[in-house]
Amino acid sequence: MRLLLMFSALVLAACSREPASEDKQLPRASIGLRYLRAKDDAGFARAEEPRALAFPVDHGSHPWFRTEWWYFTGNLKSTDGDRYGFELTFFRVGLRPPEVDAPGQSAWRRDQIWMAHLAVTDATQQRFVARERIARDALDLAGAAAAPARVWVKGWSAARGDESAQERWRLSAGDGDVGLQLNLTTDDAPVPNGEAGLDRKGPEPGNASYYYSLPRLATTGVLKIDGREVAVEGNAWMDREWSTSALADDVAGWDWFGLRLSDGGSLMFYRLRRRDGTADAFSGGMRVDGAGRRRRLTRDDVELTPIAYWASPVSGTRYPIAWQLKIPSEQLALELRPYVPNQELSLSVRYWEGAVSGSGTKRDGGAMTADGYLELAGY
Amino acid sequence: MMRLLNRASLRFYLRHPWQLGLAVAGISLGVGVFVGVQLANDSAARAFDLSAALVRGSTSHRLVPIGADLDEKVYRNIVIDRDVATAAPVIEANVGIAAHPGLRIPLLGVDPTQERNLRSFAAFTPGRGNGDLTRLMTEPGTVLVPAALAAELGAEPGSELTLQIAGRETVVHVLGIVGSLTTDVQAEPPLLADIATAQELLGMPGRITRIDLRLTESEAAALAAATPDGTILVREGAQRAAFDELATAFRTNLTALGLLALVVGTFLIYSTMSFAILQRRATLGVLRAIGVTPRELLSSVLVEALVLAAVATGLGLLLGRGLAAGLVDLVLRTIGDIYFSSVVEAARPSPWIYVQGAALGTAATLIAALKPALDAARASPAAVLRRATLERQAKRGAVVAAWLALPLLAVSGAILAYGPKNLVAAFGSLFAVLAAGALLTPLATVALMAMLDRLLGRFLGLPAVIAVRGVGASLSRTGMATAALAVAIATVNGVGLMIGSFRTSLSSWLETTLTADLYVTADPTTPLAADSDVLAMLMEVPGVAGVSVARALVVQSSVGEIAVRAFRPGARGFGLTIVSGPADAALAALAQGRGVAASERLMFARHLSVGDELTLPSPSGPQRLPIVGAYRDFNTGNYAIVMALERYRASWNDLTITGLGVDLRGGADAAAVEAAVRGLLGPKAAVRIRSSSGIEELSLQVFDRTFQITEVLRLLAAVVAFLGVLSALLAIELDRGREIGVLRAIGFAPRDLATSVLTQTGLLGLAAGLVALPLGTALAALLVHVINRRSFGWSMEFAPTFGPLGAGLALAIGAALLAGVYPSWRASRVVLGTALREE
Repeated sequence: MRLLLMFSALVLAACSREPASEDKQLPRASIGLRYLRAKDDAGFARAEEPRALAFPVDHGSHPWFRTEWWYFTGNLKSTDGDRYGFELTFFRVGLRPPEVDAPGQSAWRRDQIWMAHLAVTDATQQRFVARERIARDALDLAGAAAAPARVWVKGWSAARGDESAQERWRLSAGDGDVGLQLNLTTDDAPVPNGEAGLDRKGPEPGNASYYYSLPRLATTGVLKIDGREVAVEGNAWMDREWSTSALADDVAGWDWFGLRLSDGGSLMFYRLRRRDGTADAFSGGMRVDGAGRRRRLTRDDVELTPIAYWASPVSGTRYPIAWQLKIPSEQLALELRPYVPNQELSLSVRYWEGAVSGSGTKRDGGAMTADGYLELAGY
Repeated sequence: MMRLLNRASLRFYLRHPWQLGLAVAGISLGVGVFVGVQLANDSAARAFDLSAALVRGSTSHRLVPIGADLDEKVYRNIVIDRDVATAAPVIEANVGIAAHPGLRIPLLGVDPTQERNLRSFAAFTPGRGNGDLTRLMTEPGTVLVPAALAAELGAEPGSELTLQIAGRETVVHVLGIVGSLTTDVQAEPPLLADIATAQELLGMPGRITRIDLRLTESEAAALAAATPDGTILVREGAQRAAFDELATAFRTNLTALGLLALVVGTFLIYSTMSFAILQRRATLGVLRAIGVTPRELLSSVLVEALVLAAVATGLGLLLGRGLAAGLVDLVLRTIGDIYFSSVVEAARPSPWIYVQGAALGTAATLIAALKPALDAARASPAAVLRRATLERQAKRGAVVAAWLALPLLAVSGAILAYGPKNLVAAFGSLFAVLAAGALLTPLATVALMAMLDRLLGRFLGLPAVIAVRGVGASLSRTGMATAALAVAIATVNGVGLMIGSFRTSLSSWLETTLTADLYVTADPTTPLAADSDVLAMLMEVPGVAGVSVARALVVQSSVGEIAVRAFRPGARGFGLTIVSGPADAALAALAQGRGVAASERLMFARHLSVGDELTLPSPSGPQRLPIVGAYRDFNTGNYAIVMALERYRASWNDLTITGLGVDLRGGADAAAVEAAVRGLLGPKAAVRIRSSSGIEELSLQVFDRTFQITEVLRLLAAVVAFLGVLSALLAIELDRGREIGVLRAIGFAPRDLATSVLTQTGLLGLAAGLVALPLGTALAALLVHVINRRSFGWSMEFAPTFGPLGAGLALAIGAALLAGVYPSWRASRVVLGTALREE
């Protein structure tokens, strides 16, 4: 789910500075959403039925769909045991369907805008830093390549090592006193979400995305925050999604959880939050157990209860940053808390996305721990 | 006791409503003019700052080309290879509007995705803009139009607009109207387009004008140390230094003129306050006699002044507000005319100006009231009651004041000679001269009257003699009024003389500078490729005697951004007025390409002298060029230099030109030559052809428009002076009631009395007017030689003429005579008993 829908707002929001005073009470995302709902998607393809995902080809760009992203988050530790989190994401939005003959002679007359977010969390120092890059796909300032897959926005990039089946990614991004250089690998195959990779977001046909995840990528490398470089290792999560989707009118935002559990499995769940605070029927997720067995989750499979809030001094927005998560059918209960309360990205799009960890119990009464990322949007 | 004193004050003013009105008028006028000028000034300054800030945004540096423009690949180099986080590609060019001949407005081509951290165009803000950014970026030929222009042209979203670009007409589609970002500020954005559209419209695919950057100091240092080939890094604002310095100087001048009004106002306050004390000397004497302490009297008078100040300052603020509404357009137009090509609307001025005005008005009133208050408190009870004592003191005071003027003059001279060479010091010196003039006025008046008495005494009738001698005998009442009038008239004279001198200098400069008869100019962004064939053919046109050629461009030199004119002169030479020594040697060195001539403004602003070297970037490396001379330049644009065209071509490898000067043979048909020139250059060439007489006429028109604001302020000073003298003299003459009564009693006819009163006010006016002659001339000399030079770097010939001086004298006498009309009418109708009982 993630920022997919909200991201189309970029077309307008990315270009702006702070909205003028009268818009202050509206979060930036809402302005974007308003715009998005009125958007004409004519000419773009829509995700209408399941299709076989093909790798590594589908790691590349799908420009016939309006929006797409490559999303990397991870929970890492230094040799001293200090906990860190990172986020590096690449978003693409199509201004119009690709045209074979672009009108005009200017190299700047292009179809795609790209945005990348970089954030690093330092649990020990209670620090969080987030930066942004935006470019259109002119002059190779930003873009995506296939064989081997690579996406980049200006100097930031995520690149697959080669064409082999093993997933090996190299992430590289930096902005002054913050940055990362990380190597990610796994022998696991990507996990298709939804119905064989088709993830429905609303009742309308085509109101869906193609969505897959790599929940557990072994990660090593260097993080930089406040100018300090730290050697780290741990696990990362990669999410990929593309669509030409619209958000139902009564959906205000979403709460997304991507967790690696101590049973060796993973849990992805998003709750689409309606304006009245209830969960939308199209909320859902995917549970992979330690043996690699997958189970789709629907709205009623997961119980979510906020247990702590944090109000942003920048935006004034109040986010539920700690949660109790229960899957009654598994007798799984987890209490999740953020590494740092302030993990709000106050960039072109404003949202809270942060490293979390938790502990609780499972069916046999044994202990279960988890780490991962939580995304709170539309608050 | 204080209550008693306050009631006494109140009673006095209730019985003398004229007195009250005049005191209030003096303060109100001074505060009003000051506040009005400041408000207009601030409003204009903000409007321009906002306009500039809108385009500048939070840009800290610019990467600009050494040549005409940049390869867009440089942008890639900056954001990817050098990983600069905030960098925006910009294309900027002036375009014409077909429906609005003569108007050229800036077209700004930007990548909207890179503007977030730099500029805040309302159009790019969600929910605020009236345009669709997706369409702006994807559809060729789409633009956003600033609201004011849209209103003028009747353009609306969906309509078409015909632009003139490089001589071609191009139709663009209006996607949206760009208003102001916020509601309280009216800053006009430029015509906006996506960078792709701008490249296509301007026919420059692959090229950009510059890159706007936001860098930290260390990032800037790193980039400056290794800029991409063909570029240099300049600090934002540095290239606007010439404009900023001019605009600041202009505003300082206006502020000083506003302050001058307040100074004149202060004199009026002093004169009314001391007069109000004088009139009550009997009451005060009685109060002292019944045991009121000097301290109580002092505070009573100061409280009275404070109340007056509060009321009058309040009125003054209202007056200033009204005045500002009229002045602000003048100020805006003046700055806009010379310094900017675009049009801006006034912005809301800072409310602090009202506070400032109120504080200044109150302080001025208290300061003005201090001496009368001290006089009232200090005098012994008996002496206060005696008029004769008072007049003796006044005469002694006149002599002391005159002596005090000498050190003031010395201070003024010392500030000029040894003080800092800035505007504030210059105005300090000017105010010292004015103060000295005011101090000298009473003694000068006495001397003048004594002279008149001796020379003309026997030819004058008795009423006139009484009037002449009365001036000297009533110095306590007349001294300050005359001084105030003299200062005001001197201001009027000085400003008038300065404008006259300036206009004369400008006119003769234009004659020297305009060496050709016809001028053909192209926009520097679209130069002409005029090879030697074209020039040879031009020489063949019947009526053409010679041709001069120029290439104008803007470069980032070692002393900031400067305008370069590379020039191959015709028969009449460079047309430069060299002001830095021998002209022949300088012009010869210039012609031989041994260096450049720099404008006086550049020399002054950058503290340069002949022999210093300027370093100019060129495609074949930095060129170090010595300054061979300074020339007079009344242009208000960039700082400028002139070099020989051949010298330019040797290092810049650029054979294009932007200007042609055509000399005509005697009797040649200018219109026919113009047509032939147009034919030669081709119908596509975007050029403007003007005759030298047309340029001269236009320049003088602009000059006159520029000085309209100064003329208005001069007029305001005259009004303040007029009302001031009216009020002071009216009060004085009304106070002479008893004296008039005595004269009537000893047999003077009513007509004689009227004559006597009128003669006396006329004489006071004459005295003030005469003092204002040298004082005004000194003021003008300071304005011409010091203030204008320090403000704008312009030197000019000081050419005093009698016109403005005569007008000043007439104004002084006229105001004085007018002030005497009512008292003289009253004097002629005086009823004996009442008059004698008055005191």
